[in-house]
Amino acid sequence: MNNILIEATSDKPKIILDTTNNFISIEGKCYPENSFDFFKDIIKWLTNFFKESRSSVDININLSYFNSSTLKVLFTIFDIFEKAVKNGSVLNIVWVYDEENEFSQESGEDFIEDFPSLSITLIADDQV
Amino acid sequence: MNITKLANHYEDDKILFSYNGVISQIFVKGIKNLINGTLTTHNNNIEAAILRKLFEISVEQLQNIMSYGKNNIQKDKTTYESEGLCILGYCTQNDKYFITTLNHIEKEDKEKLEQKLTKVNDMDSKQQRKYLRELLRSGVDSHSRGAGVGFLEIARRSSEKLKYSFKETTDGLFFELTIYI
Repeated sequence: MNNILIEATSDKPKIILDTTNNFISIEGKCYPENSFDFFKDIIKWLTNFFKESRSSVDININLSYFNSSTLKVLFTIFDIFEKAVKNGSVLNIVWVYDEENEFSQESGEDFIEDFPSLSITLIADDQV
Repeated sequence: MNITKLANHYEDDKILFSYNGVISQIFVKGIKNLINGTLTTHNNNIEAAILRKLFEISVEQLQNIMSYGKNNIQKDKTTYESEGLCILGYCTQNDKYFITTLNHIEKEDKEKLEQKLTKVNDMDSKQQRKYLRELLRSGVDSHSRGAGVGFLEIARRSSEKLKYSFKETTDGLFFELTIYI
């Protein structure tokens, strides 16, 4: 599998999908017109990556703002994480929220409640 | 037609910015600077939270118009643009900033929009958060036309109920949405 690096733009986040170090990162702002299209290849990569069980994967999600269509995609991505854990992978997910934005914190809290099998740590961005 | 005239406003509303034209992702990408510049010119001490909420709400409103507006133009596989009106203002009556959008919609979308907006307006913020999670879990809204999740995200950032109206004209049906912060 290839590693993927996508640099951030004004409406899209930086993305790192790294098989060498078992590291996944989504960082920045995310409000493209069509989030499903933007994340299509990323979802494909994640699905392939988690076809085998992975021993320890660090996942960093640090989105200071995302639009509602990105929220839907994030839900799909957390579904993939949940299946991966069911299949024996070990994931350490860190959700970094913007201290000034109560909605990014609430989303993190909601993901924790909606995906109880996942280990998700919430960290304020000024603690990173 | 000149849709600017269709917008409902109180006499004492201050219009800080008004745009009538093509709404595309390029416009959306510029809206943050536009909001920040326009509002800090109006009030140099404006709270950062107000600016942020206005930006986040405007993204949802404008992207709705791009995706669901009548006569939207498909630029390529995943890119759309549509005509619309976008107004940023300050309402002296309730001492709040507002963002109004107005656009041409399909007649058959009126009922669906009304249902979604009524439902969102009938809920308090706790219920809205809960309902948002239900929608996300069910995946019902994930690819379908309609802006259930988007309206919820708007409502959670708004300080008042979503104010909307439909305007029947000889040129078709128009939808106006105003959000106060």
